[in-house]
Amino acid sequence: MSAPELVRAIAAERLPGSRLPLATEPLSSSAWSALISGVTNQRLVGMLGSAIATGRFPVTADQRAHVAALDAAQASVAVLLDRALLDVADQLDGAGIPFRVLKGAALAHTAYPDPDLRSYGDVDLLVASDHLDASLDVLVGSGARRRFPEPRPGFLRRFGKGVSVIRPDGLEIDVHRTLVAGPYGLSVDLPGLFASAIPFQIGGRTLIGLGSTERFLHACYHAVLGSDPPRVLALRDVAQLALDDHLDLHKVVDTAQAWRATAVVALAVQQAWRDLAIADCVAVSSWAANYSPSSRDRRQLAVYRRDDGRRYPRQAVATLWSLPRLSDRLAYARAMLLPTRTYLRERDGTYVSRLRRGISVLREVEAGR
Amino acid sequence: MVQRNPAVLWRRTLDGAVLLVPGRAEPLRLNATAAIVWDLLDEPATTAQLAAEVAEAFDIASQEASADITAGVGALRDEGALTT
Repeated sequence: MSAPELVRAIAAERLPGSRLPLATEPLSSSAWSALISGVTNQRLVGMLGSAIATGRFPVTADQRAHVAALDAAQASVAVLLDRALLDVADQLDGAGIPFRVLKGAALAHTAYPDPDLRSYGDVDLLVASDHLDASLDVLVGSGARRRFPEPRPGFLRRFGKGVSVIRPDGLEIDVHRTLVAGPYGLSVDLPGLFASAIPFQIGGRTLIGLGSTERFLHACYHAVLGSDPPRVLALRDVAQLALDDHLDLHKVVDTAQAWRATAVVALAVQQAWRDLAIADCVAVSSWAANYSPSSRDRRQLAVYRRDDGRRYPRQAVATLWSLPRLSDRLAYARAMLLPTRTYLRERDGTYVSRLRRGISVLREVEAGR
Repeated sequence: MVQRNPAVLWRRTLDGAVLLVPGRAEPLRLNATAAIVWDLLDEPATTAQLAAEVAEAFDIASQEASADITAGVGALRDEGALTT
């Protein structure tokens, strides 16, 4: 088996219904190096550790020791991130800012049989758009620094996905106002994200994650819109949630339609079922298998799916066209074409180079419409 | 009777466990034996109860188990991971 095939098989560890075979004997030295590289890159160390512990993945003593060291290191990161999450939760609670926990920390503690299986590298939280600036003030006030400036004051609160900060301990906190950047992020029902919830416990404290339907849609967004090709851990999240008996297909389809993201959900499930070789057929996988994206869906998805270094400007142009109000379009265009000097210094260097790039991408997007 | 400090953050690992005790900057890595003690304390227990469980599970003499358990519990309590 090749390293990518083995990595996918490890990503399916303890996933009901996957037919991907694991190794039948310990790997050679070169195959082992390739596997470890893939596993660490895809954040699957916990799943490899589980496969070794249960005897499903045979290893030599040295290989086991290697994975044990990596597993202990990633577990250390996980508990430090959990502590950071609790700190930030206390800070936001103290400021009266409601929030939801997103992605890795929430999924590990709510969707997986053991949090040890699901690694994560940062903390992701969702707040209402109106609370984004206040949340940032709270975090910066406690010593965190913003990773990137925003193009113009108020841009992120109005159009962006969110803001990232780095704490003094080096850990990253991502505060989101929507689930993805670009046009798909603008069509999410933002108040609806706070309408339902799944509570969970960390260190004796109750935290709140997204409701079942919204959590699943977010996982689909992350898989399909996050990177091309999708990260295998993101596909595992989709499969893990799709196979949950509590997932309601009707709510999923209704919500996806309301968010204009049906193609995203269908594609995520199709790819998860294919890449993880899942034999089980559940309501959402049957629905996804029978879904064909329209040409409009394909154009919209293409904005996210080509990783050629022009993804961000392509998304920016697509976002501009998706804004319904003229006043929003003007404000967005102004921020993109005439950002602050601080932003420009960190991104493009000069207004002229930025304008040239914008025109080039605009032509490309127009040609594709 | 001892029990886990509910504020401890932890994960199982391939060869043990990792614990982050409140007030400590760095996580604590437990070896397999200490991790067994931690696992057994998902419910409050006395060291005698823990020793009996370990002796039965691993088919070892209860005296040997008792010595190991007492040492393990003592170490975890010293680190702040357990409360009485």
